[in-house]
Order: sequence, then structure tokens, then C-alpha cells
Amino acid sequence: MKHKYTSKADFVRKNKKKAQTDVKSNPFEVRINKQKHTVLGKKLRRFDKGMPGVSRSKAIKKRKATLLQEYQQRGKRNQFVDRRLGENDPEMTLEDKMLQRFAMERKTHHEKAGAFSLNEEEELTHFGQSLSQIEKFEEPDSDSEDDATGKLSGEYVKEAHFGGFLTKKTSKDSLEEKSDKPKSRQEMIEEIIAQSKQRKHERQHQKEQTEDLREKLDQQWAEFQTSLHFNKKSQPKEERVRPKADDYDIMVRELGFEIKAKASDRLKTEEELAREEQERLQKLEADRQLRMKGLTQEDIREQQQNRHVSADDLDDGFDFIRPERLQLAYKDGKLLLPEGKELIPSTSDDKPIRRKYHSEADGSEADQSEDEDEGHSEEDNSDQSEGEGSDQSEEEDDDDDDGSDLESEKSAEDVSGEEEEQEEEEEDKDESEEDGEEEREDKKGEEAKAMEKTKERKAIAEAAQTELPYTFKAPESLKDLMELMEDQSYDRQLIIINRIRKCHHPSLAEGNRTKLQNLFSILLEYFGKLANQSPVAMEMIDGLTIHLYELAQQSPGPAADTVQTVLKNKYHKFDSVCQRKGRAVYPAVDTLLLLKLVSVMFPTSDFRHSVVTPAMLFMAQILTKCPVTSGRDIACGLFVCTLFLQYVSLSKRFVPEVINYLQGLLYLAVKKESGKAVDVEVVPPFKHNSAQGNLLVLQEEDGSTSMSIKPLPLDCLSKSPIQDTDTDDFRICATHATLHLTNMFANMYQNLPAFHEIFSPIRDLLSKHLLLPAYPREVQDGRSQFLQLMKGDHSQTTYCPLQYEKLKPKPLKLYEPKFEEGYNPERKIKGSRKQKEKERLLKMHKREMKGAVREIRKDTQFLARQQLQEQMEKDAERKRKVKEIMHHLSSQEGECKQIAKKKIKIM
Amino acid sequence: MSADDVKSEPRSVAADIKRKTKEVLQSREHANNITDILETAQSEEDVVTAASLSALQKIFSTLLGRKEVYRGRLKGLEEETADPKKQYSRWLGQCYMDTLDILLNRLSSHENSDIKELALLALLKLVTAEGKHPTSKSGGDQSNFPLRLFQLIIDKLMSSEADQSAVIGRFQDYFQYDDIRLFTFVSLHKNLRMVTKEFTQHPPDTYLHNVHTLLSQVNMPGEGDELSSLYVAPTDPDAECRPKQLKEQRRAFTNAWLSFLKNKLPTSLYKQVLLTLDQAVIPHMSSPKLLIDFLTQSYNIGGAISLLALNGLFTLIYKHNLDYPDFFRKLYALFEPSVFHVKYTARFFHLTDVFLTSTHIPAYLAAAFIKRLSRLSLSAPVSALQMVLVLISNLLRRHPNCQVLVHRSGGEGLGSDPYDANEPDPAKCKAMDSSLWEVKSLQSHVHPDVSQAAVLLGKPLAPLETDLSQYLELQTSEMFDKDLTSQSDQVPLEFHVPKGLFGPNDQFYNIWATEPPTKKQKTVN
Repeated sequence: MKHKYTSKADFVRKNKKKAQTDVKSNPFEVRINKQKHTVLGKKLRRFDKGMPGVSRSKAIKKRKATLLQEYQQRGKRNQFVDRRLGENDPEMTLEDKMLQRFAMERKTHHEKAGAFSLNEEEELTHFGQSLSQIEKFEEPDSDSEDDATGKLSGEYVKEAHFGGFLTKKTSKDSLEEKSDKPKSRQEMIEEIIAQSKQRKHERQHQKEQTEDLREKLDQQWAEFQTSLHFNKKSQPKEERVRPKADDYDIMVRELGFEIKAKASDRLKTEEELAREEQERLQKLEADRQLRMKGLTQEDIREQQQNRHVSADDLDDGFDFIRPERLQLAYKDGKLLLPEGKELIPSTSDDKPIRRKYHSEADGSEADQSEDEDEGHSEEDNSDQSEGEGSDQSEEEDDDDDDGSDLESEKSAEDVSGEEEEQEEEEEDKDESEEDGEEEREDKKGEEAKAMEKTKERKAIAEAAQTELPYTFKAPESLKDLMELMEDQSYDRQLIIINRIRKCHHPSLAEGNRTKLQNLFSILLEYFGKLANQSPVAMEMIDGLTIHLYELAQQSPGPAADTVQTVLKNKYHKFDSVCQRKGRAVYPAVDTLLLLKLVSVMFPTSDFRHSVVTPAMLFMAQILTKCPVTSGRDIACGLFVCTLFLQYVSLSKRFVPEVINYLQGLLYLAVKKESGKAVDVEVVPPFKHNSAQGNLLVLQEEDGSTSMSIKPLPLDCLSKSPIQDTDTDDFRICATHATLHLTNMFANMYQNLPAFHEIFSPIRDLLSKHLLLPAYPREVQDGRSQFLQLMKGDHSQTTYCPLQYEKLKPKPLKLYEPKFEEGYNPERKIKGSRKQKEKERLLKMHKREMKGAVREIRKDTQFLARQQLQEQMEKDAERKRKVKEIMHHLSSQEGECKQIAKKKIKIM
Repeated sequence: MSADDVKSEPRSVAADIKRKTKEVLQSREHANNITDILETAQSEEDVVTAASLSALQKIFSTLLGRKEVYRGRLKGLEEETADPKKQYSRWLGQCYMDTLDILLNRLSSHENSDIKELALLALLKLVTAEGKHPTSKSGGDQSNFPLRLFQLIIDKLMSSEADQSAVIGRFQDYFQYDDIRLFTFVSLHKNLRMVTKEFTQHPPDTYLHNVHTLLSQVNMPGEGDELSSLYVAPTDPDAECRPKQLKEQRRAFTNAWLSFLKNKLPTSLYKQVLLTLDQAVIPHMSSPKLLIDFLTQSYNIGGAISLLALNGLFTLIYKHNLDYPDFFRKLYALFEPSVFHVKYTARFFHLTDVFLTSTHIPAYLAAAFIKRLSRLSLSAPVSALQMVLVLISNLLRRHPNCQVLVHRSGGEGLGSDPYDANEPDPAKCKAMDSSLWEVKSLQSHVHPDVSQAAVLLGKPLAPLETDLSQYLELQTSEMFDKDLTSQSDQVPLEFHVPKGLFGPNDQFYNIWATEPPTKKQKTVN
């Protein structure tokens, strides 16, 4: 047995191919579905054409081989295993099977028979010939006896006589003999190939021969020609020298050969650049505005998509809004445009449109767009600014020393091309000069120069000993980074970070992106560490901020994840204290600065942002849960309030916690007489009658009116501030800051309908209790400004009763067909790869499911048919038997009657 | 037994005590050992004390069983010493009194709580012993419970100096016996009366804490429970006695509680009591209306205590038909900005929701509450805002008349908000004339969830109420985690390139000195 099949299904599947080839394509079997429209050249789909009869019979055959067998075996415990030779081998023909079986039989028989034969080895001979051969009586011409003539046939004579020499088989004969057998396809093809090869070879050979011949002829002709020339042409003409080319000619030629400058894109003018930048910013700003409203790009797309209503649509409450279409109209020869729309300036003289997108950053925007590039280049060139000379020499050193660094160095240079190009050029110059030294030593001037140069270089090389290397390994942890940074000044640390980033630019190697992501988290850690130092190294932090910002730009997702994790850890630490005690202490400087960093890296105006929203929750929690017990607490609280001001400056969102807090701070500044409570509401964390109730009350009654207001130092956020916060100076500054913030927030919330209710406690506080006579002018101005705002506004605001948002009137449905621009019937599914994959799988699953159900249905049909057949057979059998018995009985009856008759007769 | 030996080897002394106990119990000859043991019971060694206490308990429970101890009045009997047997029994009676003194002393004041517990157990064993063999005097009715001894135990347990919570915890196991429970209440009631008389001002906090611990650890039987487990078996087991009557139990319970609540409680204890009042006390009182005075007083105190008293008051109003005038007015007064910052915010708002469930409340009242809530929401923390907004929307649904607060067609602009926030009477605050401008302002709240909830109020309301319970206990940390996880696949980034942590156009510029000090001072790290 060659193959062993695990199941019948396998067996059948194996035979499938064979069965298919067996079926001759009978044109009457083919059925083609009727096409509605015949399209020329269109291929029929898989299911439009088929041979239902064939496939049905195939299916039945298959079921008979598998399902029927199982059905018949269903009640049986044991089964017959067909062990006949080759029975299960589909490859074997019946004849082969028989042969094999016969051989087997013979073999076993022989083994059995020979088991007891004693003289197996002996062979009987007669005259040296084996008897067994003789016994067969085989004579070559034995059959000739049958011939009636008794003569040998001519053919036999030809072959046998004279050793067959007379009729040596010709090659032709043999060929014919071969061709008797039908050639297989394989053989035929091989033959054809062999023939073609031979022909090709012959052709080549011929060609070579003709080539040789031609060459020979040429040679001969050349020899012959000289003799001909000698006769015809004159000598001087032959020797004529071409006129020497003058400068002009050379110049012309040169110009002709000079490489022409390739056409390239026109350099953009500054205006154009600015406009592009402007457009980019505008687009980003528009995105931001949308996010602020809480709409995503998808929402908008959906909105646009939803606009269409197909003819099948039901009136089920989905709005249909026609997109606004611009009506083309002219007036005085000018295009009329609705408000808010402008024509894109067609001429370059037009000033680029500059949208005013927020009041604060308005002025800065222009510089910012210009500055941005500068900032980049500055950033990139920061290592150059270190001092060019030293850098170059150092690079040379590097090149000389180790080759391994060189490679990565080169690749790094490719990326940050511009910057290093210059260096390279100069380097090349140096090198060439170096060469020059060796070659032209006799030139004295040069020598002197070179001497000078070497001297210089030596000096620089010494300086370079202390220089930074150019390539760094990406640090794995903060510890690694700290090792690199050890004993370096902040400027140098920034350079190191810059170089690490350049060495591991994502386009350089595969794993660089993750390395940079790792670097981001390390830098964030370092940021926290720096922030906790006292005094805070602001320059370094600023530098780090830029790096962190740029790294975040490179890979936003992981950066956001990292910031989230850090925030989460800090928050949970804070929150666990809150849960336990019900209050908490103000977090350390690193947390505060991290919150600031979040506002730098992520847009704070988004309706919902996965980093900013939690950060704001954290800040709100700080403002509600931390009681104010010291000057540092006040500073921290003010810092968080300022942070909130920045977070919501664009979106103008309402933060009740900040207002409560500012109110509480102002309450602290009110002088409280003992035993008499100030009848102003305060919201926790501030309390009436607390021990720290007079934290912001000035100690000295007068003498501070002339004090100048200074901005609060960041230093007072740290837990051990250098400056004392328990002074009147600090109190005045803090009060001023509070008032300033209050004014800012009041301005921001001016348009809120409950503006008055929000700020009325502060108004009461300022107008009744906090008169600030002993404070400097600025502070008093702040107070009066606020009161002015509240008063001025009071008359203006009209409290309009609220109404529900008006529902847009339902437009009539227009059932027009949907036209899609650039419709491609082959690309139907739109959506992400994930969606497509899901769709595909679902489709596949559905198809398979349907197929399986169909198969099962057919199986049951088949079985039912089988059962019916069996039943019918049984019935027929029973009928037959009944008939037989009846027949028998009737005959018996007949006989009986006959006998009775006879008896009567006899009687 | 000399004092030297006691000091030398406490273990051997303990063994010695054991031996002596055996001897005493064997024959009367060794009766003098009792004095020795009484002496050792005063020892400073805990092991020795413990051994002698248990020895005394063993001796006297056996002797009480043998009826050898004289338990009459001892005074004035000293002279008559005719019969040696009587004399012996009187002497034993004397010793028994000493033993009780020692045990009670140990119970009330000993540093080691183990010894205290041991003394308590010994005393309770003696209670059984006495109960089994009652003198003719003890216990007026059929139950043979030795009330006098038990009263002493309770008096000592309710110490005004030491915190007895550990011992009371041990005592809690005995509350499964109905007689112990009943007589605890009875004795406690007596004790409270006595103490209140003793301390003219108010009893010390430790005492009140002890009483509360004891009271709160009692598990009162329910309506259908059978009261049959007695610690001291009565002479006639089938007879109806006081401990077996639920009514008696409840009366004693009520008396004890009422006399406890009459005292001026410290704030923390007050809150604790109010917290458990409606669940643990009111259902078991014979007439809960007796609590009205206490609850109204607490309600009038204001602040957190008012909030808590609300709970009990609610139970009384709801289940016991209490008619409380000005209830809603007082409830209205409880809404202050600080209400969001106390511990029991969730409970308070849950109750508010329940109180305002009725659709029969006049619309002006509902409107007043709605307006008050929305006014408070202007200074509420993030975590509470969703709850407030949901509550407002539920109230608006219940009282469709109040929907003028969010939708008033054809109204004209007003100069100011007609609502008077300082008016204590909800009927006069003109809430119905106002609108919820506060909610409108909250639509631009900084947190997206709050803002969305406020936006929902600006649209016609869906007919079904929102479930308030999921917002009641909402913590900021939960919101924080939710915001963290709701992450879309791409995070928008800021597109303005920074020049440092604090830019020149920053809001920080005027307020904070954000410039690095000076470039020249480069600090080398």
C-alpha cells in the first residue's frame, strides 16, 4: 500500500482531479446564466457559467463514497477493513493490482512450498546444461511445425541465418520502431527543443564563417586600395594641417560643452514662503478651532457624507442640509462675495491674508512664523555656534582616529546636511592643503602659511581634548544620560542631547524611532529632576522643553503615552493622600512645571484631549484640595491659576475652581477683626476662622504705597525658597498677582450669561472689605479696574430668558441620485486597513457559513432520498413476498378444490 | 506565701496557685489558701494575677454550687459566731465580697486589656454561678438573674477614665443571650442616669464613647425572632420572663438610647451616631417618635450634622408619619457652597433626590431648589457638577411646570436675575421668574463631560430620568482615569514652536519672573 488516507474525504479529494479530467466538456452540459446586457469582451463571472449536471453528479458520487458509507455503517460496531493489495491506491490500475496480487500469491506459495524442500541448492544438469531449461523443451522453431508448408518463412531466414548479418537493421527501421510507440508529450517537447538548439547552433556557425570571410576580403581590399590612391590623390592635400584654434574658438567650444544648468523649481520669494507658512498655520488653526468645539475630522466628513439622501432613504429623521453653494454674481465688474470669503490674491504684490486668530498672540504670530525657521536653523547649528574652528579640527581628529565612528558620522551628516556641508568643505580644503604641503615644499610662501596652519591646529587640537565627541549611544535610562552629562555645563548638555538626537534620527536605522521615544521619557525624567533643584535652572529647562517638543512632534502617540504615565503617577500619589486625609499638600515644582510643559506640547484648547483634560482635572483638584498654610502655598496656587489662565485663554472655558481660589486668596488679604466674622462666603480649601486666615494681611499699616511691584519669582514655588515669603513685599506682589488674574479671568468670562453671579462674591469682597488703602497704586488700579468692569457691565447685560436651541427646520427631501467624483467600481470599501480586513473576514465567514449550510442541506436531502429508496425497496420486497405467498396459497387452494372435485367424482 | 517568692518566680507561683485551688476544692482544711490567693491577685505580675483571678473564679463558682457561701447582708453579723459552720460560711461570704471587689477593680482599671478581659469573663462566670443558686432575695421575678452583680459589672465597664473598647468587644459575644442583652440595657440606663447626675456639666468623652461602643455593638432581635437563649437559666424554664419579651427588650433599648442621647455628644461621636441612627436604632425602638427632639435639635445645629440628621428625620417622616413643619425650607437652607466639600455629599444629594421625588411638591418649591442648585454649581468642583446637572434635569422632568427655567418663549430681556439668592424662604425667592443662566454658563465648562451634560439641558429633555446613583459617588480620580483611557489613536500636538518653557507672549509674563536670572551666571552641574 502506497498511501494511507486518513478518511474517505481525503481519498475523494485526491481523486477529484482525475475525475474532472474524465468528464469531457460536453457542450450540452454547459449552462450559462442569462445576462441582462451583453457587453462585448466582458468575462463571465465564476457563477454565471457552469455545468450543473456534471457537478450534481459529482456531488452525488462524492456523497456515495463518503456519506453513504457512513450511513450504512451507522449501526455497526466493527467494520471491514479492506486489506487487499492496492485496493485503496487510486494510482494503480486494475491490471497492476491483479499483477501485484498474483506476485504476492506466488511468493507466499513459494515460501510455503519451499519450506520443506531439502535439495534446493542442487541443480540437475545434462551435458553441462541445466535440466530445468531442457525440461521446458523450448525450441526456437517449435511453432514452425504448425506450418503447413514445412518451410521456413522468409522472415525467419533473414533474421536467423548467418547470424542475422544479412539483415542488419537500418537506423530508419529503428526509428520507425520507435515511432511505433506513441510519443509522450514530454518527449515531443524535448525533441523540439533539441532540434531548435541544433538549428541555432548551425546558424551561428555559418555566421562566423561569413564574418571571417568578409574580414579577409577587407584586408585584401585595403592592400589593393593603397595602390589605387597612390595614383589618384595628390600629396599636399593629404598633409594639410588644420588651422590652430584661437581663443575665441576655444571659448565657443568650451561654452558649448559646458554643463548647462538644469531647470529647477523657481526659488520661492520670501513673500511666497511667508504665505505658505501662513496657510499652514491657518489650516492648523482651523483644525484647532474644530477640536475646540469637540468636532473631529471624521465628524465633519460624516456630516458631509450624511448630506446625501438616496432614493431608497426613508424619512427617518436624518437631516439633510444642502451645502452652501456660492452664487456667482458680479457688480461693477467685480466678483461679489459673501462675507467672510475673500478671493485668493492672484498677484504676488498683494499682501498675504493674515487672519487674526486670537488677540493675545496676534502680534507675535508674524514673527513666530518667521522665527520658526530661524529657530530651527539656530537649533541645528547650535554646535557650530560653539566655535567653528575647534569643531573642525576635532572632526579631523575623529576621522583620523577611528573609522568606525566615521560611518555613523557620515550618515548623520547626510541627514543634517546643510550644517555639516560647510564643515566638510572646509575639511576638504584642509586636506588638499595638507597634500599640497607634501608636494610643493619649495614654495616658501606656502610653507610659511602651512606652518602657521599647523601651529594653529596644534593649539586647537589641545583644546579639542576637552571637546565633546560627535556620536553618542542612545541612553537607556536616566542613569546613562547622567553619565554622559556628568560635569558638563548646561550648554554642553544641550549639545549632547542634540547630537544624540541627530545620531539616532529615525531615517537612519530601524530601531531609532523607539530609541528616540525612550530618549523622550528619559528627558522628561531629567526635566522633573532639574525642576526640583533649587534654584531652577531655567535655561536648561527651556532647552529641554524645545527638545521635548520636537521629539513629541516626531512621534506624538508614544510621547503622549509617556506624559500620561508621568501625570498618572503624580496624580495618584496626590490623590491617595487626598483620600486618606481629605486634603493634600501642594505638589512639588516638577509637577507644576510638568503641567506647564503639557501646555507647551499639546493644544490646550481642545474640547477633549487625552493629555490636557486629565492635566486640567489634576490642576482643579490641586486648587480644591490643598489648604493654604504658607506663602509657598499661595505661590503654588497662583501658579496653577496662571496655568489655568493659559490653558483656557483660547477656548475661554469656565473653571469654577479658579474663581473660588482667587476669591479665597483675596479673603486672606482682608483684615479680620477677632471675634467678628467677615460675612463673605468662602469655598474650601479656604475656611472662616482658620489659623492662617491672615496670611496675606499686611503687617505694617503704611509705608508700602510706594513699593514697586515685581513679578513673583519662580523660586518661591520650591519647598525651601531662598527668598522669604513672609514679608509684606511678597504679600503685596501676591495680592497684585491675584487681582491681575481676577481681572484677566473676568475679562475672559465677560460673555458668560452668569458672569455676574460668578464674580459677585469677589465684587462684594472688594467693594466692602478689601479697600486696599495701604497698597501701591498698581494694586489699587487692579481693584478699581475690576469693580469698573463689574459695574459697567451690570447695566449692559440683559438677562434674556433661556430658550431651547431652535431645531433646524426640516428641509424637503430631494431624491436625487448620488454622484461620486472619480468613482472607481473596483475600490468600493473606504476606510482604514483594519476596517477593510474586518469586512473581508466577515464576508468570508458569511460565504463559508452559507456554503456549509448548503452542504448540510444537501446531505440531508441525499440521506432522505437514500432512506426513501430503502423503504421503497423494502416495500417492493414485501409486496413480492406477499404476492408469492398469495400465489402459493391460491394454487394450493386450487389444488385442494381440484382434489375435492376428484374425490367427489371418485365417490 | 511571702512576697519574696512572688517576685522570684512568677511561673512557679502560678503553679502553686493551681495546687492550692485544688486543695481548697478538695477539703475545707485548706480554706485558708483563699486568703493567699486573694493576696496574690494583687500582684503586679500579669501571669500571677491571671492565675489567681481564674483560681478565685473556679473556687467560688464551685463553692457557690455547694451553697457554702453566705450571701446575706454581712454588716452587723460579725459578733454572732456561735456555729462554726455558719462562721465558716460567713467568712467565705466575706472572701467572696473581696473577690468581687478585686475582679471589678481589675475590670475597671488595669493596664493590660487581657487581664481586663479575664476579669470580665470570671465575673460573668460568677454571674452564672449566682444565677444557678439564687438567694431568695435576688431577682424579683422568675428569672434568677443576679442583677446586683451585673449592675456592678456594667458600671465598671462604662469607665469614665479608660477606653474599654477592647473589653466591650469581648463582651459583645454575650449579647446573643437575651437576658444579658436586656439587663445590659437596664443597667446601662441606670448607670447613665447616675452618671448624668454625678457630672453636672456633661460626662467625659471617654465615658460617652464607651457607652456608644457598647450600644452600637448590640444586635437587636427582629420581629419574628424567637427569644429563648438565656445565659442564666430560670427556675421554671417555660415561664414567661422579661428577657423573653421583645417589647421589654425594645423598651429597655429605647430607654438606654434616649438617656444616652440626652448627653451632649462630642462632634465626631455625634456624626457617628447620626450615621447609624436610621439603620441600627430607629427600627428597634419601641416608639421612634421619641427621637424627634434629638433629631430636630441636631437638624437645627447646621453644617454637616444637619445633613446627617436629615437621614434620621427622613426615616421618621417617611415611615412614622412625622409631620415636620418647614422641612423644605430648612432643607433649602442647607444648600450652601460648602455642601460639595463635606464628606457626606453623596448621601445628602441622594436624600435630596428622594425628598424631591414626589410630583406633588409645588412647582415654585421645585423651581427654588433647581435655581439654588444651579447657583451653587457655579462654585462646585468638577466631580460634583455632573451630579448636580443630572439632578436638575431630573427635577425638570418631574415638574414640567419648572421647564420655564430652561425654556421661556417670548420673554423679554431683564436687567438682572429676578432670583433672590439671599431669601431664605423658597416661596419668596422668585425662582419661577428666572432662568438657568448658570447652566448656560456651564456649557462652556472646562471639562468635556460637564459641558456636554449642560448642553443636554439646553435641548428639549428626553422623557426618561437619568439615574443619579452613578454620579453620586463620582470621584475626581475616576474621571481622571476615564479621561486618560479615552484615547483616540492620534493625539493632536501644539503647532506653535516654543522657545522655552515660558515664552515671551505667555500669560505668565506679567505675573511670574520667568526669565533665566542672567546668562553670565552659568551654573556647572
